[in-house]
Amino acid sequence: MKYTQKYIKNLNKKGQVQYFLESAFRIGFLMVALLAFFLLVNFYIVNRIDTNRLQAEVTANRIIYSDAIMWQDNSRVYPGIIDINKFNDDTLGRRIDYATKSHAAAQLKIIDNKDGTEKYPPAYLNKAQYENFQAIIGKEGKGSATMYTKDYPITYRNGDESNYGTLIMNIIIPNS
Amino acid sequence: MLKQKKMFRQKKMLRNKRGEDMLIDFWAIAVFAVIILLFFLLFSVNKTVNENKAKTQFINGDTNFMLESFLRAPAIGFTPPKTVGEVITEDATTGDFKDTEDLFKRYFKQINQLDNQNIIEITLKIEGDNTKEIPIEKNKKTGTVYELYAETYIPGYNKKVYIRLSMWSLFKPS
Repeated sequence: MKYTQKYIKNLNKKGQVQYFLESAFRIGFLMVALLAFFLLVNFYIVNRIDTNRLQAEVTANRIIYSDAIMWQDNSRVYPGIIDINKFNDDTLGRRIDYATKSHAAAQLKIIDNKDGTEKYPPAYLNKAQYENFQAIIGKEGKGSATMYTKDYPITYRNGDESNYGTLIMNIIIPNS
Repeated sequence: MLKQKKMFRQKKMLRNKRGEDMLIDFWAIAVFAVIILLFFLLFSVNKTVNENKAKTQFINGDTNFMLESFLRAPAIGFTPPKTVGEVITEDATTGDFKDTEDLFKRYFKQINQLDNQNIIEITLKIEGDNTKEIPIEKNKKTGTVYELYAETYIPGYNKKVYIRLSMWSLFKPS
């Protein structure tokens, strides 16, 4: 007990405070360095990929290259030639049938190249979803949606009659 | 006098250690800040390039589809029935590209946009026994215009025919 009291009495308290002040600066710098290190590591690790555009492209390619609306001669599909008999919501829904209905929705319109008019009513992929998304297009945040528009020159075929037209595809992808 | 000299020597030998430490700390922080900045700049540059690359690949896919569907499309108004590709092959041999020009203009008449960007001009370049370049003007040029293209070869009567479809738009490929 006597020894402890003596030891405490002999301690240079002024010196202790001085070293603490010097160290505080270094501790602060160390904290900043650690923070910067973790920030840099987080920058290089890609843990968030924006797949909205990819989803839209996959949906568009699925429509233009598949037998969903394209003309077929026996089993051979002709990409770029649309069969008007298939150009409706029902055929699109049956031939492009994903288990999850909330990932993408699309509106397809055919414009005649001669006069620029729509000869046939538009066809929809997930029509209900497309109509729901209309109100949230272009808004900010996860609850919103983005619309991508794609134009393709095509030939549309009704029976034996063929005409040149343009397929306008409005694809809506939710931002979540 | 001797005592004063001794004191002077002692003073000269004493070094301000605290000042040295501060200087070292200052340089350490400065170098650290420069390194962080350098890494950040490198990261930013890499990120931009990757984004552009992905976008270009998608759009080039569209021009490939357009060229493929144009060549396979039926040549409407021609008897006996033939495809646009067959008409181009015949025209490349004779040198009269009137039919090709007519089909090209009818087929690409209503298309105006590529990836939400206005198409400024569409050109079809044919090189076979004869050469021809057919342009379709779409929108007015409002800045630097970039070419997105698809190209292919089809069999001709004497030699193969080279076809290049170009979309001139404001989209900058990487």
